[in-house]
Amino acid sequence: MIFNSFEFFVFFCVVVGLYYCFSHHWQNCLLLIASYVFYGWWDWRFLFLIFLSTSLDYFCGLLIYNEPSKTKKHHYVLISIIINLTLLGFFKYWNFFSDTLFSSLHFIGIHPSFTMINVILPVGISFYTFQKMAYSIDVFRGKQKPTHSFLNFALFVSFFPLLLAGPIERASALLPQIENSRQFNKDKFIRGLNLIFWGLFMKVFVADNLAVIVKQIYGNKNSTGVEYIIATWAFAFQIYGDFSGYTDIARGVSKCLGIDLIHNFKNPYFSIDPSDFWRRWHISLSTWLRDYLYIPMGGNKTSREKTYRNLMVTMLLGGLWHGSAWNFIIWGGFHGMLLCIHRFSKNIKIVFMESHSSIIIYMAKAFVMFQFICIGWIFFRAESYGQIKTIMYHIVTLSSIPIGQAFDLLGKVSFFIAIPFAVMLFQILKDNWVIWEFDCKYIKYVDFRCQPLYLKSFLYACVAYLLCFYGAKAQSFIYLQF
Amino acid sequence: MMKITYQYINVCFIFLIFCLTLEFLARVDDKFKYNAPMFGKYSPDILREYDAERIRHNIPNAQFEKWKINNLGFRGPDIKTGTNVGKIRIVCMGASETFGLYESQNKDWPRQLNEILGDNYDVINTAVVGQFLDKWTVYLDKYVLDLQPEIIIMVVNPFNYVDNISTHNMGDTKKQISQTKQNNKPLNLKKSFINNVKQGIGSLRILPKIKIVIKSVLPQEILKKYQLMAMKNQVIAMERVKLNGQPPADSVAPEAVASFQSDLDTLVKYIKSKHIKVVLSTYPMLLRNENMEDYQDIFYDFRRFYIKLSLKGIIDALAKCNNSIKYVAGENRLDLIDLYRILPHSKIEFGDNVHYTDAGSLAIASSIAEYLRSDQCIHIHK
Repeated sequence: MIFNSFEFFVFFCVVVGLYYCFSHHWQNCLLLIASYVFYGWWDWRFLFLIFLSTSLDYFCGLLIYNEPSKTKKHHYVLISIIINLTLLGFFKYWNFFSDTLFSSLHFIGIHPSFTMINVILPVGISFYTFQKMAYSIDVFRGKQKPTHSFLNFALFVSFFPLLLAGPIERASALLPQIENSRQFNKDKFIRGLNLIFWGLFMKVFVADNLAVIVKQIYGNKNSTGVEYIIATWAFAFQIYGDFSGYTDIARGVSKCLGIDLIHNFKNPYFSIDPSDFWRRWHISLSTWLRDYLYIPMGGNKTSREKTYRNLMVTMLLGGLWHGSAWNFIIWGGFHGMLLCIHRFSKNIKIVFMESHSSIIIYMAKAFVMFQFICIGWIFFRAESYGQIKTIMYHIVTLSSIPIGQAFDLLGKVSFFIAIPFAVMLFQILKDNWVIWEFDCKYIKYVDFRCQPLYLKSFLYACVAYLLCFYGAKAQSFIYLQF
Repeated sequence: MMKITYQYINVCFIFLIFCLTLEFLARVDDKFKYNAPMFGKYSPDILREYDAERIRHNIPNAQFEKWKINNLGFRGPDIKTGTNVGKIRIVCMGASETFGLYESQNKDWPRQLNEILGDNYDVINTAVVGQFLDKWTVYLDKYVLDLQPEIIIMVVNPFNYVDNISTHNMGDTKKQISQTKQNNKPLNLKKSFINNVKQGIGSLRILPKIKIVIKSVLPQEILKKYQLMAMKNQVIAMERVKLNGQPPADSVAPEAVASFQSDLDTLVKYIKSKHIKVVLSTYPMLLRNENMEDYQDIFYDFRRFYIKLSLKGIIDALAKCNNSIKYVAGENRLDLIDLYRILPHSKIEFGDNVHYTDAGSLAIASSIAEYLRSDQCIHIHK
């Protein structure tokens, strides 16, 4: 059951319809049942896994909190982390590591006779494992009081809008909302529907249409350098539309149920440097990696060399989190390298990089950064190391296609990007208005929410038309595979 | 109270703007995609009309969605006079099956036949949707013979003879009856207002588009079951009205087949008298006794047009009419292509019971092309 399916539409209507008829306790019961139904729709066998690992972390949380001895607390949190990582490692990385081992043995001339088992990846395991681990660590650090209600904790782990592809919520943000009663709020509900609508537009119109172009070019061995460049730009917006669309729908659905989730994206393609990008892209993951990996390793409060090491390790593991394949590790390594270079440039104080004074310089920096991000996306999208080499070769040598054909392709891509890009541009103008010291009174002309109702109605109709009649055939979300 | 009323008005106003915007966008979209008029009537009816002799013909240069009529009133690209020098001109005659309903643009079987045969041939699709065989002679005289074809290939729909009560006809009859009633009755302002509203809604362009989207979004199993149930109910209701409690016939009336055979024979003889080579074909259909279970929806859909016949009756009618076609071909020493036998009976080839998909049209075009090139057919050289 994916968000852009009829089944989910019916499911959502039934859940919301019943939800506000119940009292707080029964609302949580309903949400938990709904979440397990939603998860079981994919593969009911993994319901046992999620239930077992939830129970384990629930009891670990209580033990950590109630245990006076620091050493034992440490043991309990280690048990929680090790079990979580073992489960994640087995289900997500078993195939990868066994394949790698197999091919390495073949490479050195050993041909093992045993057969490898093929493990099915439980959907959403990376997301809910990280969420549970953060809970145990926060309880250990004393930042979070454990919940005494198993129902609330189980709901925190398996809340259906964020179960499959995040955002990775912190217990400090989500648990209090689950524990407190929730009433129907018309404004919140409308804002939720608004988010669902926009999320669907990003997914069905932007991402799924671009997916067709990207698939066609990346799947064709005879594609030229210019085609690969355009397809990579298209993929940048495909993956953004896909993932941010998913997040917006998740946030919208939660909002309709009276629960607020964090922003996972803040116009990432307007970032001006690598660290800015990671403050804007998949925020819930990047802050998780920062808080539970980068800072515990020493972060930047250590020697320069160790900071670079910390950055590289964090990004490599971040890449590996995305998927058990070498291209994701290369992607993570590439971003780690960009972060190191950026930190190095900060250390030697390159004045130009610090400049915020002009919109032109800002846009130029954002454009350059976007090209680097796109290079990273080549590693992410490519299906093999060989394909990465081929694409890079074609792009560097710029094997060209006829100019008319290139414009045709660019036109197609631009058509699907224009609207969200315009909205993002408006957003960035609004966000950075004060920085550029323009007159704030003009904000109302670019802020969609300030427009009169009739104009909003017209704009909504335009977006709805594109969504309904130019939306591509429903496809699964990219991040569901992680 | 005033505040609530104001809110209601506000919501209605916003909703109205939303709907009007959608309608406006649908029209702009049609304009860009199909060169449709922004205002005025836009339906398949704009493709054809009746002339003074009540002969149905396509309107030159008309277009509705993917269906484009050329400068001479036929489906396909424009025909420039004098460009066919040295080419063998083949005219394809028929009704909706030949005109093409489910095929994409330029994928109707005459167009695909032209593509297969190559540049030395000039294949023209002169079919008109809903053209009855008894009108073909006049249509031929008025619209086709000027093309001076060397060959005419005919795919004749015999079902108009076996039971010509169609829902379209019924719709027309109903319309006529209601119009007559309206003319005789004093003007009822309320009713005429409702009729105007209905007509207005009927001419909205966004509604059919929304219907298509909803159909594509709904789970196909549920949609199929619902459609099947609706069609069954419609068929039962039609049976009650048209058959007066009698069961549908398991065999076709002999006089209907005789009438079909006689009209076909007359037409063929007329064309032969003009020294044009005639190629006849049997009429292919998807439904069989053996695939009935798989295509129940198609059966009920088809039966709505031929309510007097059961499945057995429909199959019997087709078999007898195809025999008649073969008989006429034999009697007049014509070439015959047995499309009924050649065309596979699956949904890959058929969009519904009697209309073809791109793949079906390709199969027909390939069979005809092969036949034209084979020894069974006289080789044509100018």
